[in-house]
Amino acid sequence: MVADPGRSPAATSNKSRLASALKADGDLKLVGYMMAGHPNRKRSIEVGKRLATSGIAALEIGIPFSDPLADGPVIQHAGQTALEHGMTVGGALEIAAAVASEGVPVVLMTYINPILAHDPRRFAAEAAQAGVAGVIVPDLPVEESEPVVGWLRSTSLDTIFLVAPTTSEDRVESICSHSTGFVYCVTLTGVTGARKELPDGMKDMLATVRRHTSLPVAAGFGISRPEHMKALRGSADAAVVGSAIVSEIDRGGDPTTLVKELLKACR
Amino acid sequence: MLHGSYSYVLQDGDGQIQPTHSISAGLDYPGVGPEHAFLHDTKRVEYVAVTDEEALAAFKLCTRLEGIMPALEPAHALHQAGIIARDLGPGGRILVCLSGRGDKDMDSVDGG
Repeated sequence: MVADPGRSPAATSNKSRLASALKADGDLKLVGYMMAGHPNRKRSIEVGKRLATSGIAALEIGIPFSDPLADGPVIQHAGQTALEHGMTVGGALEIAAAVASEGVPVVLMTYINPILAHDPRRFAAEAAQAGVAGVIVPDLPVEESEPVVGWLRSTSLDTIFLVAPTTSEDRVESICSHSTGFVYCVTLTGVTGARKELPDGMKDMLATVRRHTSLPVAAGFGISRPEHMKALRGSADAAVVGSAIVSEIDRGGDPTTLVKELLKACR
Repeated sequence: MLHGSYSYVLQDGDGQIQPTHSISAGLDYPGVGPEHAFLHDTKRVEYVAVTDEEALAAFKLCTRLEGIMPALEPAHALHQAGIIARDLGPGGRILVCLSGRGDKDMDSVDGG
């Protein structure tokens, strides 16, 4: 890949919609997740619009990838279903545009290969055009993030990097300095998917991340229950709930019922 | 980009990795190692495709003629060596690296 100077994170973070939307103000903020094209294109737009107006602070929309190495069985299955129904990067951007038009900040979550295949500069331009606020690429480490991150930022998209429980403190610092919008804390060593209890040490990890950034800090992976919201209040700015929502969508239910229940526990 | 490696991968136009099949477990992967990708790009190595059936036939030939059971991975190379040998004719010399032994592949060979 060719080098590109990119832009300094500080240049865009002040105006970030995500940074303002996700900063806790007494209440914990809730971030939802859905997979573009799951269970199909039409229903995914309907569900996305419902989620957008359900009281969540932001919505992550997954772009399906054949080899989703950070995802557990629920989101893997959703991605596979979407791909079987012909979902593409272009199609996912159309869904993102339809959902973003409801006013909720939309964050795209996908892997680096579909972005490279689509052409990262074109992806950045089309995502910005779709009204997307930011992008999460779990298999793009900060050390290898240029030039793609520079291209994303040049169209004013936030770039959110992930901190894991195994991340050393000097890397936490580097990840925070590369992130805009918010910093994503992966609460556990494993893949996405609902867990009964949140891991010990999560609060220490969130505190460590806070020492290195003034951006909102979101916790994700395994978070699915009202008691998790309660546990995260005061430690994190926002909680990301993915698999629990996707399970609801998968069984044809209304995920906003779960969202309302979780939001009660955020207050 | 697959499993953290930027190299040639078997993918469609949308960057979705395609399913693979090979009788040889060591070759049943949609990515190409970075060294092979480099050798290909610098044109120092010519790469060819060999089918399961061709590799199996080469495995059996080598086992019968030499008493050496090659792993199924280099059995693909042995098949290609046979093709090159026909071009070189008698007296030509070809070096094939048998990168592994075929005992581990007996079940696959039996099933094939």
